[in-house]
Amino acid sequence: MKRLLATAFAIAFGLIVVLGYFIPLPLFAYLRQEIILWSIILAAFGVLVGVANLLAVHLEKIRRRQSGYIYSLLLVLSLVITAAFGFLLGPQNPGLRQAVEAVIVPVEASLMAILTITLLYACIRLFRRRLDVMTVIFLATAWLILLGTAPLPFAEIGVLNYLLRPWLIHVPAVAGARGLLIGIALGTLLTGLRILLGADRPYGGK
Amino acid sequence: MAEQRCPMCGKPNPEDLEVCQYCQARLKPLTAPLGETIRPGDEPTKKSTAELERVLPEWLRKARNADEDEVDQPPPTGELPLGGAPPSSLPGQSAQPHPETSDLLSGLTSQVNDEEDEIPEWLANLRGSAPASEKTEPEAELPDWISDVSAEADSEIPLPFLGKPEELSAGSGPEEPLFSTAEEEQSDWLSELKTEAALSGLEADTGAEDAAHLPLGSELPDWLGGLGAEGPAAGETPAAPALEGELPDWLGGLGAEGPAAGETPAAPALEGELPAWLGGLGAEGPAAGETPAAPALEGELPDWLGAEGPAAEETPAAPALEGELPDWLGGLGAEGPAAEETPAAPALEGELPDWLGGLGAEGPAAEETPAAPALEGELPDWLGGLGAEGPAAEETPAAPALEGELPDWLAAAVGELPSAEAGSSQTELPDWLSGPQPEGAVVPGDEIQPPSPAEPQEIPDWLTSLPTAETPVTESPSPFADLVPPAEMPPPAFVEEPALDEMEAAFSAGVPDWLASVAPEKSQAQAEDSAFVDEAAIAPGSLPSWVQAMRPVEAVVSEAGTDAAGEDMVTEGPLAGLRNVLPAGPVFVPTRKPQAFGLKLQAEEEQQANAILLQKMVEAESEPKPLTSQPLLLSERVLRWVLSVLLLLLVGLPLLARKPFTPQSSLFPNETLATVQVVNALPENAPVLLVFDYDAGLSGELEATAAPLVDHLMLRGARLVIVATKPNGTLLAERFLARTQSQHHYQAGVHYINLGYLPGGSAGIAGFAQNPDGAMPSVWQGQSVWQMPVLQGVKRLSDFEAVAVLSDNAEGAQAWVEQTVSWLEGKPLLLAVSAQVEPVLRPYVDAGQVKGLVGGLAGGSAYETVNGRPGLAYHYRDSLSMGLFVSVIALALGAGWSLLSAWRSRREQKAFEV
Repeated sequence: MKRLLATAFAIAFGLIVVLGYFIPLPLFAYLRQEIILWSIILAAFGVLVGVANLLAVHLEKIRRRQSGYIYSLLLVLSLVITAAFGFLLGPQNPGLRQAVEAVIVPVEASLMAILTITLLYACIRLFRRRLDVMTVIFLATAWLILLGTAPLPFAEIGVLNYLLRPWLIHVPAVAGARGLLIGIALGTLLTGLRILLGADRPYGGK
Repeated sequence: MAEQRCPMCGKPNPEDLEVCQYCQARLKPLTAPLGETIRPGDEPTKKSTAELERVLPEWLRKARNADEDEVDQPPPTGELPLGGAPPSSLPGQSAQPHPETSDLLSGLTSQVNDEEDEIPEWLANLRGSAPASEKTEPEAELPDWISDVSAEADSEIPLPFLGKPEELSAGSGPEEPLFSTAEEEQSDWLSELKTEAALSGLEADTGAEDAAHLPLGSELPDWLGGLGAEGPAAGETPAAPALEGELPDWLGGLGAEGPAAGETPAAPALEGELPAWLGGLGAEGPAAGETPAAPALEGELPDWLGAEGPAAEETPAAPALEGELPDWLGGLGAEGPAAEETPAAPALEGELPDWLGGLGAEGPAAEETPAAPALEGELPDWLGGLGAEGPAAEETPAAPALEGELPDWLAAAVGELPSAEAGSSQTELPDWLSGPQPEGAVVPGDEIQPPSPAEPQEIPDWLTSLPTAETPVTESPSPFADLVPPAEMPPPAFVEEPALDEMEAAFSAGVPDWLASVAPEKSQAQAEDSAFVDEAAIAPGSLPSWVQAMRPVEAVVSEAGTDAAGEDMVTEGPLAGLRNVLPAGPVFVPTRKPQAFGLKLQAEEEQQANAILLQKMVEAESEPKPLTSQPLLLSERVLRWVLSVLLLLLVGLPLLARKPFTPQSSLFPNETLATVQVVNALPENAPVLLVFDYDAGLSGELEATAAPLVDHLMLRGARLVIVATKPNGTLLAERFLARTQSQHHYQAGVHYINLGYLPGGSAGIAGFAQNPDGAMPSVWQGQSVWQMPVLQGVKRLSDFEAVAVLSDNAEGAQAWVEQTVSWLEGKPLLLAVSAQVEPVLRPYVDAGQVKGLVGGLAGGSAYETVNGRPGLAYHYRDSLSMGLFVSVIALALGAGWSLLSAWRSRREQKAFEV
């Protein structure tokens, strides 16, 4: 019964939203807007539920004294303190902004920097692991793009900067991107139809 | 020390041993030595009845012991307990019943102490001949039943196994003794026998010269004939009736028949009482002219029956016979035969078992004729006839009388037996009667001559099948043909071998006269040329099937082969006389040498090589391999560290320089120029939606990329409405404005407003696009932001003059493009994205949905150059260039090196494979 209701609601609301796009009736427009706004609210609560789940998992880990529970403790403390400051001081508070700038940004930026080194090393050893045509093309393309992205320190390679790189970006890349986007769009459309028809039930149930 | 051979395994053992030390078989028989044989005319050998004590069953022993207490008590008149005959009925004694004869085997007890304790009294009385005077006492201890039988010699004593049931019932009830006195009880069966004997025509079949001899007489075995001979001794006529008066009828008739020479009428009378088979037995013995035959007959009888047959002149044989008989039978034999007993009697008694040896011993003594009648007066008719056979030559009529009373089956058997006159009537004793033969005796080879049928309708087949000396064995099927000779018979399962030996000794100790007459003379002969070997003598069909199955198959046996002719025949043990018998374990020698097979595996060279290879492989698996320790410094780690150092140095050092050394590109991207144009076209103080859709990790690139755009917007006086689609977007927006746009001094709530985080992803964007104030009902200092001057005139998305999206991922940018374009109503949508997503979003730019695109540091640098306002991009241009340059160089070098290494490894692998 529960699964049946969930499926019924999903299909009903989906059809209303779709019909609202195709039927220019104020009712459907209103319903559509309302349903979308409700989804915004649900999404917001979903964020809170995610945060709560994260908190529960780490609290359980701390309670059972599992391996690495110290990091879980640090996470929970950071969350609680930041949330407290946010509730109390507001997001525009310079103190809270300092917490963000001093912790969040460097940490994530460092991860991105490590990723850069790792990718560069992987590209260098790519031929050792896999030597084929596609690998050569891949590395050659990446080399050209990198070379034509910005002028070199000592000089600018006009062919690369003004011909090759722009052509690579505008022609092959865009072509691939367009195909990718079309595929994504079609997949999204099909997924929506399956949900509207009840074939897929990501919300649970058979 | 003298040695004796074991009859089982054949190994020598010391003389003093009683049990073989190898196979644990008994070396010395308990009853009688196997090697000894009783021959007609032999003196009965003395035996100690004490030896038989062990053979006797327990109940019998107890009975004997109980009866010993009643020795002083005279037996009741008219009743003959089963115990035995009164001692007074013994030959040579008065007819007074002996107090110790109440027990059948009481004679055994008396004879234990008797000096000559060899033949029981009752048996001696049965023989009809008076034993020696010194033997009278022990001989007086005849069992009552025998004494009664002797007393009833003239009466019809029904033989319990021959009479009719109603006849038997008259004679003996459940509480009455089995045998009644002759005077009081004359069973119908015995009268029948007499009648039968008279009517059987045995007289005509016997062919006896003496008309007094019934035909059955010639057929009677000696032991029966001797009984008849014993009884009717001339001087014992009084005793015979007396004896017979005491004995049951069937025994009295025997006693009456045998001993009295003058009782030739008695003999016929006796024989008329006795069944035909018994009458013939009596007729056989007592003929005077048959005395040679008696010994001869007795010589044919089995040992245990042979003692009955001998004539009076065989008195010397009596002692010999008695010596071989068991004690309880020895007395009988000792009683009967006198010292003048013919040698035949001893010889016969030597063959008879003890209990019957007395019969033979009794018979042949002429001077013991008084005892014989006395004995026979006690003995039943069938036994009296046996006594009558031996002792008295003039007792020939007793034989016919006896024969006339013998049952048909026995009469037939006896009739087939060689007649006393024939002399040559060496009827062969059946093998089972002949008993174990001494070494060299051919028991299996004995031809069992079936007795001539006196009354075919009355004589059973087994008796008729007994071979006679006159008739060849093959003429008629012998009733005993189915029987396996004792030497052939497998030992009974319930009898231990020593006991078996004892039984064999017991049975071989004496042979009745009638059986002695049946048994061929060569029952004592060697077995080499015996009829058993001759297949014609014993037809396979005559043997029972189960016996046939037990016989060794000649085909197999012959296949096994015999090394020598003499080794085929087994000369000792229970299988003596058999040929082609598998030898015992210790003696067994395999006849065939087992085929030798090589244990070496036959394998080819290739198989051996493969086996060796496999063995090496298996051994290699078990060998420990040294662990390869990894070096602390690996090439991979070195390369990573080198790259990290280079990048850090080359990217960080230009930041320290005041002036960039990287030349500015003269080529500006079109999308960047378009963005500049869009912003330039915005009216002043236009509300612009600024969307922050990137994470903190790429905030450095995005800040450098979007800073010139926002700066240009601020220069245009745009009112910025900030919306974040990431949880950290709000804070990043604040950081962005503070780090890059501080020169503009934009104030929150006045110049710009930060609406906050817009959740829901695409749905939220769509909701915001449709109803901005409904999707973001933010409050700024207690006031709805949509009421603030910053958002004055903005109710829908299309009220914004431009929408600028700052994103580091393609999905977010796509979502904004896809969800807002239809609601912007021609308002420009600008994108400031990371260099990694620029190619993905360029189609939107090419499609016209996105009006301007600033991608990466290069785009930001170009936008700054075009706008003429250097910013972060200008400062990051050298670091960017150096970073790109190192990356390019590293990629080139690394790829080249990897390529070369891969090529070399492949080359080496190919060379190895080759």
